[in-house]
Amino acid sequence: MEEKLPDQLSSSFREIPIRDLDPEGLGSLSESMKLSLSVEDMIEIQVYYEAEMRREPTDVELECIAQTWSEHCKHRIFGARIEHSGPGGEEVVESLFKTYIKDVTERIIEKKPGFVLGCFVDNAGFIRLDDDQAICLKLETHNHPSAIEPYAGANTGLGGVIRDILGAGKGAKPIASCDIFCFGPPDTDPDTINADDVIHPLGIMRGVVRGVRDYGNRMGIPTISGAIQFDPSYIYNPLVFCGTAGLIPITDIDKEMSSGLKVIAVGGRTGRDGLKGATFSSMALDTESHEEDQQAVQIGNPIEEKKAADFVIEARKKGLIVFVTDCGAGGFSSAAGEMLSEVGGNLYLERAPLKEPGMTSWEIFLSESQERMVLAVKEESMPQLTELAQIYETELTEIGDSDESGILKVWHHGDLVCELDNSRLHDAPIRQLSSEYSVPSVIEYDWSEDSLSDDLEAVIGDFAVGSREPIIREYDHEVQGNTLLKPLAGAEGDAPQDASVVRIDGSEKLMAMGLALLPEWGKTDPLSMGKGTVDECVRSLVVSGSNPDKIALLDNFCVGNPDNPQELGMLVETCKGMAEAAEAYGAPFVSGKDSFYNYFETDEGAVSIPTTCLISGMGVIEKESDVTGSSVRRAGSLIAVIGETDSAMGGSVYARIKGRTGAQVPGTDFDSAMRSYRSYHVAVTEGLILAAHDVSEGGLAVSAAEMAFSMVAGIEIDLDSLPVSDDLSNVEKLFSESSSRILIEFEEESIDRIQEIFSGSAFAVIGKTEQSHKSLRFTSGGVNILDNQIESLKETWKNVLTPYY
Amino acid sequence: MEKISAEVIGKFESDGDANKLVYAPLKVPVKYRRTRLYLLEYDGNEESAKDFVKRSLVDDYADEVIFTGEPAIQDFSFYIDYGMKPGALDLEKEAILSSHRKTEGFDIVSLKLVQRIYIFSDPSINSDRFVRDVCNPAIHVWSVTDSDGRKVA
Repeated sequence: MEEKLPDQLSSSFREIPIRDLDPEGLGSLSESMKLSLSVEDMIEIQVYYEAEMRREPTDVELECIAQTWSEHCKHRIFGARIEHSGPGGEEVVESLFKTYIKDVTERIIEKKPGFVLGCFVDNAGFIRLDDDQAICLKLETHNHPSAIEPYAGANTGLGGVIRDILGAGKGAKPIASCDIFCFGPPDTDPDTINADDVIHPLGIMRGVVRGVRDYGNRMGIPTISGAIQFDPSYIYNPLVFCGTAGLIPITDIDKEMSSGLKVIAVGGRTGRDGLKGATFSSMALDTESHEEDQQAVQIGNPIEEKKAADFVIEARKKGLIVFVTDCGAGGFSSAAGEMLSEVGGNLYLERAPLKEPGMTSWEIFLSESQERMVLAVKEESMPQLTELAQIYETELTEIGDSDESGILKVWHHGDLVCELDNSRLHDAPIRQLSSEYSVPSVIEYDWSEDSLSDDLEAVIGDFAVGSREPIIREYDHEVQGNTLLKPLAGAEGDAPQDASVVRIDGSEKLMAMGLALLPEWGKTDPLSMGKGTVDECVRSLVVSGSNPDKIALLDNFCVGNPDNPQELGMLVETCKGMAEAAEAYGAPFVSGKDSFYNYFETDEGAVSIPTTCLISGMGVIEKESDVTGSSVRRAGSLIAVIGETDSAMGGSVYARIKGRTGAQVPGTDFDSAMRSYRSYHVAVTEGLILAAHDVSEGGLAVSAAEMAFSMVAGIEIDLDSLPVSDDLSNVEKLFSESSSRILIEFEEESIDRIQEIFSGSAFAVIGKTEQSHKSLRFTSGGVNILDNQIESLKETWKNVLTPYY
Repeated sequence: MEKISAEVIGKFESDGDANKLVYAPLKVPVKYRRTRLYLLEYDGNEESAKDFVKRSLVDDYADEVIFTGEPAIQDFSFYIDYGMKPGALDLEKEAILSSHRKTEGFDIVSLKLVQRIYIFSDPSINSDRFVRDVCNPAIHVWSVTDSDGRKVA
């Protein structure tokens, strides 16, 4: 094995002899080089080099294949053939992605032509906003980097997804961001953490929030939406989802590579930071991760990215970009692979501006240094682009060119260090997996009604429900000046809202951004979790004013160990539920991402996260007057509920607080729900709705309290009027988290028209807002069963996180 | 090659509650104070190097700087010095280096940035817990010095 020493004037690569290795040797090689490739993958590579290339691979080629075939880049588990044993019997799922995501979207596209303008191909999914403009959305996870170094991990998580938007189409403009976190409880006793060097959930939370804050705020992109889940199972594997929405002219969505183009890099320099991020994220964590994986920690520089972003957007406006993509996981290897995968071309590593001397060929090619964009441009555009780069003070370097060979050729100081047939490069072997899931028997409970007021205080003061204000205030949600419905609103500016809404420059239409995740449901019933999560996301968008027929979704999954058939079985069931709901609502999936191996080897065995499915979405709001907030507007109005309450308490905050697991998880009646959502939208467009709030975590009692946090009126609700599926206890009526329900406030004089609109739906007027007091009162059978001061509830709700952040 | 140790301390800062440094409440009252330490190795004129430090790293109104190499604060139980691992990108360091000009009258040979946390408490408190909650082995290197000036970790 001959190794060339790194210096400034020569390449530094080596041949890796694999053709004579046995399977055990191939496995050892993958492990020693940290390639995260299975023995089957290595055999496939061995056969390729033996039969077709007739030589040994270089380290650059092996590293390139490893990152291209990594779970992070190739989503091989979602593309795997899975033999699944579930409640419906034995079945074979040829690909979760194709079966439950892509095919669903294609069927919806057939029914709604012209709405989805791009999905699953580019960096983000696009939908039509109006005749001229499209909006796009992308969410990524950055779990493992955030577990190792929370600030930098989350910082670059947001930075990376912003670059995804800059690389979407010919360069979309980032207009809003969101962040969703799953952490261990911040009051976790440090002595209960059974592994060295695991950062306490409070340290994770503080670091992650500051990381997101410092990137988003400094880039001048409003962070408008988010959520946090707390659960002990996230102590060892915190989850960090970052998302960004973009805006782009419809005519700039399509991009196509051709031969004869210059390939240029723009933005930050290339260093050793972030090496092997793609393969690192495809491994489980353990106590050694903090020491060993330091190089996988990337360092963010938002000012550098801001300059690159301004350059890209201006270049796109001037028509100077033929193709653009970001340097994300895999660095130049991934970007060039994507860009040159069809046509082929050359990349010259010695031209890349470096942060430090002595980098080897594969390090330059694979580095995941941040803030870099790669563009393909015409030669005649170079003078204008160079001038733009000077104006925006960003570094522009020509690093290659495209040709017609179909072969990716990487050169370093005259040596061909990588030569790969791109069609072959992206051809990873299909994984064969097996999964199983059996429905656990449901436990029925009697719920005590002895302490309803205390119960409401406990639920509203739980980590799952309490205000996120201390964290939300860290983010600038006003920058760019278009945020119309903010994450906290109401008369006092601190009450929760369902979705956030931004105006769009140059359009009468607006964009709503919403999200939902229900991991507590999935612990008992992943199928219902899949259905309920889609329902809650769609509902939050509809409640805020979105047209129910103009909603698109993103699916982001985080799973523990997919090699465990039970854990994989829960994922399969979740996908089934999610797909069924999306199809029923006509809400296509336009993008998504998955993250596996979110389990940790502690001193006492492996700890996996619960199967976590985040559904986020963007909705089109037709006009500004449709935007609807969630806070009570005035005294003397009526309160009604849309949707039926049932007895399912499984997965609810109330059941968890009471320590009761295994209860029935709520189901979702899609036809009834969609009928209600369309009716609600009619009422919104007629200007009949004063305020509306979804009934979700905490149930009816919490939703009513949250509506009242505007502090303009008290609320009185008669539980006897509530539409119910069965004979329910007051606990079930107050705290069940049944799907598809919305609380609305409207003027008394609109009652006839409102009842006409909702004549085909489960709907009832259940109460009123009251000027004479500032209490939340529930009656049943003519008796006052719950009477809490709203101010006291709000005090509890607002101070859940203040001791910790 | 000459060396400068510059410890920068906020004039208007006072001792804070050390619970802010850790993830679970401390059982006894503990105070802390943060400073910044810059260790500069250079060739050239000492006054020029000190001027550069004062101009670039010290806010005349809010900070004072101690060049003696002795701890800026006394009567501590111990202090923790921590900084970025060699090789990790340190944006503050990059900014300082990029602000230095050849015409300054000295050349920078090396620059080390250290965050220093002084802990004031009774002897029952040891440094392990603070190190665990403040320092991250993925990106930091650190040391602990006791009140007698001995490095104990």
